[in-house]
Amino acid sequence: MNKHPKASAIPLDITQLQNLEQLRDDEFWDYARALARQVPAAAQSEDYLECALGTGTCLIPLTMLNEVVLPPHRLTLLPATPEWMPGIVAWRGEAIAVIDLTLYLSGHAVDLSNAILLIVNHANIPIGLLVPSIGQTTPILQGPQDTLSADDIAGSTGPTAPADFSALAALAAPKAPAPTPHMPSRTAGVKGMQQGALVLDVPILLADVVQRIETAAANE
Amino acid sequence: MNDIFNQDELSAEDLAILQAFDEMDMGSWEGEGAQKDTSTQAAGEEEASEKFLTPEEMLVLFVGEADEDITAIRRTLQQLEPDDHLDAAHLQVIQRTAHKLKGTSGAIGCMAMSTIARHLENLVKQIINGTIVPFIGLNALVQTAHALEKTLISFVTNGEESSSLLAELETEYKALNIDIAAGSATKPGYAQHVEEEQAKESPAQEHQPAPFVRVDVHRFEQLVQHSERLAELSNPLENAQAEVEKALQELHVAEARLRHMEGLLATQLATKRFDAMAAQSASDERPTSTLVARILDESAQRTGKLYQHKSKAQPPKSADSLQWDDLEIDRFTESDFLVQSLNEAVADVTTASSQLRTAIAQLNCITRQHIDQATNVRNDTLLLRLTPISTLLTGIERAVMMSPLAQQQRVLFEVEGAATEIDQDILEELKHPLLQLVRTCTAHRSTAPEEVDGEESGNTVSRTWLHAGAIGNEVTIEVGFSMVVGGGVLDEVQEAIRRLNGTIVARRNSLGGVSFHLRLPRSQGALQGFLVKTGSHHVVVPFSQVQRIDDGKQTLPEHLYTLHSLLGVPAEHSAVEGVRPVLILATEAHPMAVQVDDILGEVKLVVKPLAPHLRRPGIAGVVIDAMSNILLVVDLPGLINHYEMQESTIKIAAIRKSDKQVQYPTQTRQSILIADDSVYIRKSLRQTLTYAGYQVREADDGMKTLESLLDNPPHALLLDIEMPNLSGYDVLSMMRVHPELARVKTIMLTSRSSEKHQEKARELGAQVFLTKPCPQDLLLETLRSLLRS
Repeated sequence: MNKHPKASAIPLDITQLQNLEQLRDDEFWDYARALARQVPAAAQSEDYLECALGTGTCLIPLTMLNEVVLPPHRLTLLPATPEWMPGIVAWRGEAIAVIDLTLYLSGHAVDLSNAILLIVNHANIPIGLLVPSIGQTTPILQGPQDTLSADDIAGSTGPTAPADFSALAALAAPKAPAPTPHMPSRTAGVKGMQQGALVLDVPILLADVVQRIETAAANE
Repeated sequence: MNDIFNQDELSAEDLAILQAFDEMDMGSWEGEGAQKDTSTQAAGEEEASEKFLTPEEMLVLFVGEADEDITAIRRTLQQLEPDDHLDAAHLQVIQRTAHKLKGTSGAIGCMAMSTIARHLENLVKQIINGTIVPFIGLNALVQTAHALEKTLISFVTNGEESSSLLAELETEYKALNIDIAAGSATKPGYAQHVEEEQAKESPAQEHQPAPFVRVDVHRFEQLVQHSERLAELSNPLENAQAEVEKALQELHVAEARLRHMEGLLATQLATKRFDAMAAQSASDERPTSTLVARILDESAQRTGKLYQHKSKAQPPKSADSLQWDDLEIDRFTESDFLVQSLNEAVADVTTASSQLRTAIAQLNCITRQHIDQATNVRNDTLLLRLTPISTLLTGIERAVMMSPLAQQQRVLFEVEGAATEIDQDILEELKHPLLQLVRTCTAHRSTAPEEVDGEESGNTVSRTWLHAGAIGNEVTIEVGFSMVVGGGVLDEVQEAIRRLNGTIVARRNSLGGVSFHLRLPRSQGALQGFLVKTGSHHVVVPFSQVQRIDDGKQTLPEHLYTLHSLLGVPAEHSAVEGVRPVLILATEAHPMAVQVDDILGEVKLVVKPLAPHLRRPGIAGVVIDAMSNILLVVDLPGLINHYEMQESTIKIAAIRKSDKQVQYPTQTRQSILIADDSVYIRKSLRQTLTYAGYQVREADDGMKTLESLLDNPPHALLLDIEMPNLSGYDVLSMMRVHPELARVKTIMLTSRSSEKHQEKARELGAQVFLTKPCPQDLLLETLRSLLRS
């Protein structure tokens, strides 16, 4: 399990190596501490909202959220829709699709009696994501050196560790570990994992959702 | 019959006789159709008397029809002038005739003629596209028609086609630098020409919402007045709210005063009780201990103060134990004062409550006025958007007068109800489809000598008209034509009108032509409909779809559906099964009915369209009620059509999977309607199907097909695409409007084989697509599978 942030692999030339060898022990460690204190300039954090999925948790970028509301008592059922679309609701005067996010991602149905509706929007198509509950916001660092390891998929990383945004490819790869309750059965819209939570790529997720809703009507 | 026709030349008289035979045949079917279907025995007797045509007779039929088609092509070519721009309507006639000839000759096995006819079609397409310049194009057309004629002569003379004529023609194409295969990939004929014309006339932004609307001055002033009154209501509303606030504050003050009084009274009563008890204790109580008593006495002697009992005052056991003496008169007065104050406070509260009630009543009154006035303003706004339909008429009249038909003969355009008003946005959306409809219908240049007799003897007059009227929030428009009309665009027009929450149907008019009846909302305001319950869901059914409501106790129509089945939602099983209401639909032929769980009432709400990914067949849109719940607005005919199509597809798949053996129907006689404008194709199919045991009817154009369908729905329909007086696509589009035709199985049988045509036919509801010439076994097997489903 990787509990420490990965060090950047900085290539050093011969001169730099010789200079390092000439340093005394105390000078070397001072230099090393100074380097360690440096924060990468490119590192930026983005706030994510933690959402329970029943079988795990996921993280949704706050910037993608339009509103967090309580769902209506009863959703309006639309004919010929996927099983993970329980219906449509009115939001700001228009009908929008509601997606059971747990069912969509994992294929497992969970209790949604006290669910929360997250309104997300991409390409002027608002969609309601129904989740059992929501938690706190979590900042996630995004760095250019983000890579994926098996540990990242299976377990958690440190609180300041960068997210593994290449997890999607690994999840879809044939050699990926067998699905666990934390692993999605549908990888579209999942861009990685952070502390055991799925990090969602909302634009991709919404594009996939809209396409599947359209094809459900055509393939009925 | 074989002796009647000369194989070498078919005169007009011969063709007239042949046509008469066809009409006699059709007439007997149409006149007795209903009786035949109700009596299999009678139909069998009629069928037994029918004489099958011999192969020689079929050949004569083909030759006659082909000769007629080639003559029509040559006659049209003679009318074409070698100009910079060949007349599109003439080209369309050539293309359509060539298409028909291609199918007919292909079906009989004359492949050279079929290929030459296809070349003719492609030439027309390329001329319209501009790929071939008109002069060269006209030259190629004439040579192709000549090749067609010579090939037919060789077939009649020698009993087989001369293939050298086709080869010579293709060599000639190369010499003219014409790539004859290039036309196959282009858009079909006149439709594209119309699109191009429309593209020229209407730039892309024409269909964008208009940046401004025209406003009637009187209505604008009315809106201003209502808006002013609405603004004037703001002060009374604010005053009423202030009064309520003031009354509430007074109530709060009175309440606070009451609480204060309560505190004072409680303190007073407690003091009084304490004093009474203290006095009693001073006189009655002595310490029980003698030592304590002695100490207290000594202390009293030393200090001069008497002993006072300081034990906790015990509350009196009852209020009656309080004894008021004369020395307490001042305290009594104080208590009385408190009671009096209390009474005053209570009175204040009562007054404040009364004031509050009055203020609330006033507020409610003002609020009602405010709502009424807001409704007035909203209605004014809707009225502002209305415009007379006459603004559309100029374009339509111009389209009629510039049409190929008008160039050939006199065309009258009549208008009624030009002052009928409709929302400007709706009119703008309607403009393009209406023009498209009129252009297409008047593009057909009649080859008949006379269609409608005019007032002046000897003149050929065709009539077109537009009659408009409004009832409530609905506008009806009839676009009528007295002559044979072109077709092929009705599905697009229908789709545009459906987007406006309207409908369009085609009917035969009193002049024997075709009329298109449109029903549209007058404004984009509220939709009135029934709020019905199905399962645990509520949906809205527009009034216009329901003819009447049945209590479900009487005999129900044969075609009865349940709304929960149509919508695919689970049924609600109630403990007590009561009688459920049945909505009888407004259909033209057989009654159709949809059973619902309950009718909850009527609603009047604004319909909102669904986003593209949420659109579903049979769902016209949604409305949002006062509780922000979404209600689906259902299109019952659309739902029924979709449901029947789904059921049919499932059953066909199941049958094809379970049973591959061919079994021709011998016991039950199922009816087939053949819709094709080719006499040869109709007769050929009739023989095949009759021999296989089916009852067969025929229709030679789209309108007759639609009428025959509605008059007596057959089990299956063999439908050609290219037909006069509504195309096969138009027939399919109209079938979707009539839910009573939802169970008719449709096979497209056409020489158009491209994937685009197949896709379009399936989208419009055809179950199977077969290409001419179609092997008999394939046709019969397809029919068998389809009808068993």
